[in-house]
Amino acid sequence: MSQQISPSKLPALIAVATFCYTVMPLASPIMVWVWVLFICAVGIAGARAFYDIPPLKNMTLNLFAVFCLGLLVVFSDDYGLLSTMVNLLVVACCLKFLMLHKKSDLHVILVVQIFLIACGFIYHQAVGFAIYYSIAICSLLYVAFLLNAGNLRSKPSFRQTTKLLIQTVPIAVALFLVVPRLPPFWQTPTESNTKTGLSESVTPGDIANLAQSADLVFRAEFNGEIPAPAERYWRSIVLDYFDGATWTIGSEAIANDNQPYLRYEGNVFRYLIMAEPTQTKWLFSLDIPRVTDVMSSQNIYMNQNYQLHANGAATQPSLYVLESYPGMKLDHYQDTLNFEKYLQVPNNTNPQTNAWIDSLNLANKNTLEIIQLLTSKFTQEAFSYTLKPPLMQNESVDQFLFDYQRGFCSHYASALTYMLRIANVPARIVTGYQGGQVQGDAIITVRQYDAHAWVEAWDDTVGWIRIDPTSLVAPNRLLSGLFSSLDDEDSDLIEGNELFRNMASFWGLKQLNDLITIANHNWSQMVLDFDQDSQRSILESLFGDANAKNLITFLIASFIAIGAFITFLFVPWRRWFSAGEVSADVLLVEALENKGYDKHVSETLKQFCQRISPELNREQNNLVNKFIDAFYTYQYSTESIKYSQVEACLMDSLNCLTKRKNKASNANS
Amino acid sequence: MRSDIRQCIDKIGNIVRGKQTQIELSLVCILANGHLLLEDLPGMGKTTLSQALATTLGLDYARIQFTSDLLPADMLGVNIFNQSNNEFTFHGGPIFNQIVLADEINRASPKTQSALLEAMAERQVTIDGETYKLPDPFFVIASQNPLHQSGTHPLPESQLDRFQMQISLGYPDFESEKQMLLRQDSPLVLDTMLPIETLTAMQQSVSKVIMSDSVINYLLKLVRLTRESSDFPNALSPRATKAIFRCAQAYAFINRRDFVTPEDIQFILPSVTEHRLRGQLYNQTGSSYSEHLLQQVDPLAA
Repeated sequence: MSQQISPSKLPALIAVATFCYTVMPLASPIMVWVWVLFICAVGIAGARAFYDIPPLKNMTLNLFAVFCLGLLVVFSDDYGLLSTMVNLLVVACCLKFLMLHKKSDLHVILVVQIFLIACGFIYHQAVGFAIYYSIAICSLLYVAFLLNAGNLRSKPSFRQTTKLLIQTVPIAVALFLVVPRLPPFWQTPTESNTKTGLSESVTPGDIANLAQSADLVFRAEFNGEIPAPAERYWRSIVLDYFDGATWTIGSEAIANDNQPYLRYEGNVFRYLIMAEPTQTKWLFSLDIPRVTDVMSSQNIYMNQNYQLHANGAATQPSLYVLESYPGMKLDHYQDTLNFEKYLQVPNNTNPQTNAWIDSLNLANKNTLEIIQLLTSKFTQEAFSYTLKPPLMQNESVDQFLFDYQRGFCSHYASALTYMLRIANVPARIVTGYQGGQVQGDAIITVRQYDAHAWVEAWDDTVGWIRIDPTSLVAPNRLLSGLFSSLDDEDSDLIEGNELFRNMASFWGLKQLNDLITIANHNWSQMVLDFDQDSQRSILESLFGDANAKNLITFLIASFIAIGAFITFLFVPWRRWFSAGEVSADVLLVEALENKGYDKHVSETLKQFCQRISPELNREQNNLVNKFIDAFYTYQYSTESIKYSQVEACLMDSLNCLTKRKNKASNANS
Repeated sequence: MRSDIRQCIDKIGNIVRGKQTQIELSLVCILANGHLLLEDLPGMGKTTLSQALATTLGLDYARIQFTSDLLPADMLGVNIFNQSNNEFTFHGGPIFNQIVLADEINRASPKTQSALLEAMAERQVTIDGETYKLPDPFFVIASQNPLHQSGTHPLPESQLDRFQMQISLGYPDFESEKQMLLRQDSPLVLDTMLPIETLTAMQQSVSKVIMSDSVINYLLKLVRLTRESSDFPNALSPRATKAIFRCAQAYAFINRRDFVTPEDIQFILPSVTEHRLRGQLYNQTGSSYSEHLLQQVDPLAA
């Protein structure tokens, strides 16, 4: 477009661009009709920079606003409170853009956009988004700068903006570290549509749905050795009640308070887990876990099923440090175990299976032999592993074992547990995750498609024995992840599968992916999870003790440091300490530049002051002109006037220019 | 601005409408005792302006139309054998006038061009071993067509350097052109506004205008930048430095000041330096070298 954008329209144009930029990441909560409104508003506001488009009449706009509000209320049930509020902000901003004709309108828009950015952080916390939004903030600040500084050329003013922003960084960091962390005044609404991971019941086939999701479940950062792929069984939920179709948690394991002391021994893995919100209380660990440190708000316990759990559903990311002792036998709590529970089967179901097991004559065999016999069915017959098993509604075990012989891990686990129980061996299903992708050399990332189910059977001498029937059928599932065990048709089901495989095969991207993961990990550890405890630990490392006195000293010291920094930035050092050495014109120009007026290199003092004179008030203009006359006479002409006279004029105009800013310096001089 | 100069500009402005700045600059050039080069397309008022200047100043005026077959003698004059007293007598050519308008100077052959330029520099001509003084004051106002026009011999840099200023008139604005059409029939009579004594006195005063140290520093910074930076195809000569100096003085003078400010330098710099900086590279780029030069030097830091 050849038309020149007039400087007065530049702020609006940048505000529109920033608005688009800010709204993009909020795509998911925004309603369709709001998108339409958004496109219209942005189009009109953008076009206004180039053509004369009159603003809408207030009456029209108010009616329209009422209409939009009605729509929001109507849709609020479907979208939930949080999304509706975000939509409200977007709608408000759009409407303001439509009626944009005053400077003050733009100010309102700026504030609303800052709220929108804050909302963005509810949905995205990754380090990339922090950078993304800081660009938006920068641009908004630039608009504010343009609005307040008048019609200046864009380039020098942009330099000022960056300068200002960089100056605020140390203050922001200091405040981040120092300001006491208060719990939120109100509960932040949680998103209702979060995909949850494992649920507290398993109907064979469920986990296949999870396998189609690549969402992050948790990351484990190991300190030292990493377990071999076949050892990575992340226990989450133990299921013991079967109603013929679905496995659920029966009566819950006994409370954790009077848990007997376990003697931890043997090989140990030390690691930290950062789990995404699960919406259940169950967490993840390798066997047998010992919690050594918990960094999130909820405490974490281990129950008698060796499961880790919090008190309530984890709606926030959880962070905890564990030690796992994989060599230990799972034979504790024998006295309190209720074996009845683990032998329960629904009555009169799966007759074919029951008959088959009866025919095996298992009465005299020990547990290990029974397991051997039962699992041999999977290996000897043509069982296969698939993500798309046929529907098995009635007598699901019978159908699976004798008719279809195709299924996912939960089918195998369910069938084997059932068979074991019929054969009078206490057994249960454990769900959790198996495997995970190793990133860097110490981090394992586990995603939803790593979800798995396996079986535990009780033997009086050994305790709980882990049996993974899936591994017998599809050994690759265990050793190298889900993808290797699928045929092409199945793998199409997994979202973004193509991308993942390409990424895995392309070395450079994989490295990049690792890098991003690690950066995100560190970001959430160091910044997102920075709380009172972290503050306390800083305090402790500084003073050795985190008592109230030290805390207050620390606070005051930090505020003094921030204050000193601000003083350092804003005190006119050159004016105070070197008025005699620096030429008077340079001092005046410096004072004006501090006010946001930038002198072009080629401008003389007079030209510069004339250009900005519309921005100054009459008194300032008078004094500045008086100074210029005196200075020109002193500097260029033969007429001899004393420098003190020039200096007096300089001080007058400087004081007048900075009067509103710092009265103190006025009084001093 | 001095009222006599103001008046002068207004009068000439009645003839060449809407070109106040250019008229002011051409007066500055004359007050600074320099030759003037007008470069523009045909029909823009170059000749009209120079005629008007000559009339206003009350000086003898001759116009030489330069063509490709113009010989130096046609311009300077010849010795003719006088049969009555059996000796050669010198018949001065049109150059023996106080104001010489060299029209379309770049149409003449280089030989003729350099004959004129010698006269400009030395203010005298030598013919057959005899040296003849040119009248005082002596100004050459040369006009040239833009170099891309056919049949032109571009002036070499050395000769461009002898012109103190180069001015382009450019198209008039809407209102001026309308006025030009409406006032066509009214007679364009000009009186002598600045008689020769006044002019000489003014030139004397111009040379007394003070340039303080900081302004001289600014001027030198500008000049030195053209020599140090690779942005400029032709650096400024010391002659150019002197020209800037004198023109700035003259400009300060017509603005009733006895001292030069950086603004004066900035005002006259483009017309004094542009043709020197550009040399023959005309019309390769649209950018202005003198603007570029001004953009790079801070007058305050001087």
